[in-house]
Amino acid sequence: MAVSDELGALTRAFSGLGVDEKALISILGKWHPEQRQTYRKGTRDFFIEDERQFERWDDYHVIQLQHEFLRFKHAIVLWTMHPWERDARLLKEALHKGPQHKVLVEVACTRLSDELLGARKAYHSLFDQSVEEDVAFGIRGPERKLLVALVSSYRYEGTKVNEGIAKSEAKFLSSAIKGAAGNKNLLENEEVVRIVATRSKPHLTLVYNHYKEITGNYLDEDLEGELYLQETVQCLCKPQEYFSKVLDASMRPDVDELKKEAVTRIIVTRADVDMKLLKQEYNHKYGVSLPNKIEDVANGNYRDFLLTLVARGD
Amino acid sequence: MENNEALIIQILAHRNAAQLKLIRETYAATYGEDLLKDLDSELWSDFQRALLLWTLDPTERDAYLVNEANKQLTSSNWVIMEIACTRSSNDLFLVRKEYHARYKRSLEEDVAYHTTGDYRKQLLVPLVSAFRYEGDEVNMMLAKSEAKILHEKICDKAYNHEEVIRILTTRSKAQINATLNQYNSQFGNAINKDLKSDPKDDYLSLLRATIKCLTRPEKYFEKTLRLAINKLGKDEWALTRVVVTQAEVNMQCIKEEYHKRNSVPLERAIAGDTSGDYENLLLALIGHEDA
Repeated sequence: MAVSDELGALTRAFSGLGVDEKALISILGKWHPEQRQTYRKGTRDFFIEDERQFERWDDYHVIQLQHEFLRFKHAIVLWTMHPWERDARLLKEALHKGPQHKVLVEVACTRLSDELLGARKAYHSLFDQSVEEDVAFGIRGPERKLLVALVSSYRYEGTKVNEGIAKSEAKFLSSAIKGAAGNKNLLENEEVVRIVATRSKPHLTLVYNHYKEITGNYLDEDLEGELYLQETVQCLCKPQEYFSKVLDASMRPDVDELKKEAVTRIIVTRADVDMKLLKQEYNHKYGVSLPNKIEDVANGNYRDFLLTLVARGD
Repeated sequence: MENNEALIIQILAHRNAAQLKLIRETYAATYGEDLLKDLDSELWSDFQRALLLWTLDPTERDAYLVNEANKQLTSSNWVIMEIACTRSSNDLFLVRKEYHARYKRSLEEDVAYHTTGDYRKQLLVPLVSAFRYEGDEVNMMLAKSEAKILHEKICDKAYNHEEVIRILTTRSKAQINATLNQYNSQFGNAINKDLKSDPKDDYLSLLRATIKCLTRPEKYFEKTLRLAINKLGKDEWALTRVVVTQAEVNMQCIKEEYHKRNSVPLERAIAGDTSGDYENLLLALIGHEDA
């Protein structure tokens, strides 16, 4: 490979999610000191000129690199974990790392009732507290009631639904949303919280459909701008669409580390659940297959591992 | 099959939950019907209600009681609170699971739907949804600060403030105990004394009862029994419910508490207040450990 090609390849090996271990070994491994110096001088992104005349690694980029090298390890550990421990740790991180309260919604609403119960049990073991006490204590805003209710739910999982009640709850939501008139305070409406936090998913799907019939709009679209309520309805009624959106946003260039972690989280937690549907939805929404997108943005072992997980359900 | 009530009492009252389950299954296999269906067919007397409840296993029983409470009005809140607060985290969860199977809805959706008025829903729904940590670990700093928060809200008469609800509906029982001890030592009064400002206020009574159930359930049950026996409470099925639900659980403790408080053994009080088969069944149940 010509030197300039190699420089390009090396930069690519360091860019995106995960690192291209093979490229790093084959290129960097054989470079003499002068070649490495050329690299350092030529890569203003990673190296800065120190006042004492040497090229220094930029601290920020070292931290970035650390994340990228560890991305594969993190995915493996998360994948191997018992789903209860995994979800308990995700819930804890959602509260403290960031925080990312939307991940609380994601975990609470997209797991089966018994899986969420398992996560709550694991939370006791891991953290000597209940998840609801941590959520209630750690969140002060108007979303507290909704989030505590979501992590405490144990939704009925059968198919039996009550059409009459679903219709009236759809009507109620429609007038509540009109009444809120974009004031973004639907979270404080106890009945709204009651409906989304306690009703079963089949029931809510019925409510979602009735809402469309009554108003001509989709419930989650009408909840645009309503903190957490939009995500809640999406996770409960159209999870694959929700996950596709989050995945796509996380794979854009120049997003922060927390957003990038969503890729591992979603692929690991959905691989055994609804990966096939997720892929279909992603393709439908963004016109590119999920495996192709991952090939584009990810590198090395991390990329290969993700692709293996994503291939499930094929 | 004719209801030979004395025989039924003898059989059913002296069996534990596992044996009762076996009896029901054997009955069904022999007669092709649910034992309970037989009992159902007559009008329910106190006796029959007690028998029916006793025959259910504890999880089914609690699910049944909550569902029944949802359909009623006022005093039923107490039943929901009582079950939510005095069962262990795991047992409460089993009740929620049983509720799915029996009623094809979640327990919390029914409680949320049927409770109207701020105070009940705010307190009851989180109480039934809780999965409290069950360990003994206590965070003393947290206990101190949460005691302060409780005191502040009580002084402001903000009895259904978010923070009050949060503390009582999410903290572990051990933590709540520690917090209330701190309350007492920091502010000189037990919290329930400070919550007595308006004796007619239903919400405050419920709140005090919640606290009692979480920290001293045997005292709560003693009081409930005392009011029921003296016909002072509004809860007409309290006697049946407490005796049946606590018979295999906490009855010894409750009997001691009752005797201490009332200077008369519980057996005597019940015998004085009830009669016939109902009396015999209740006495058999509270003497259960001795049988």
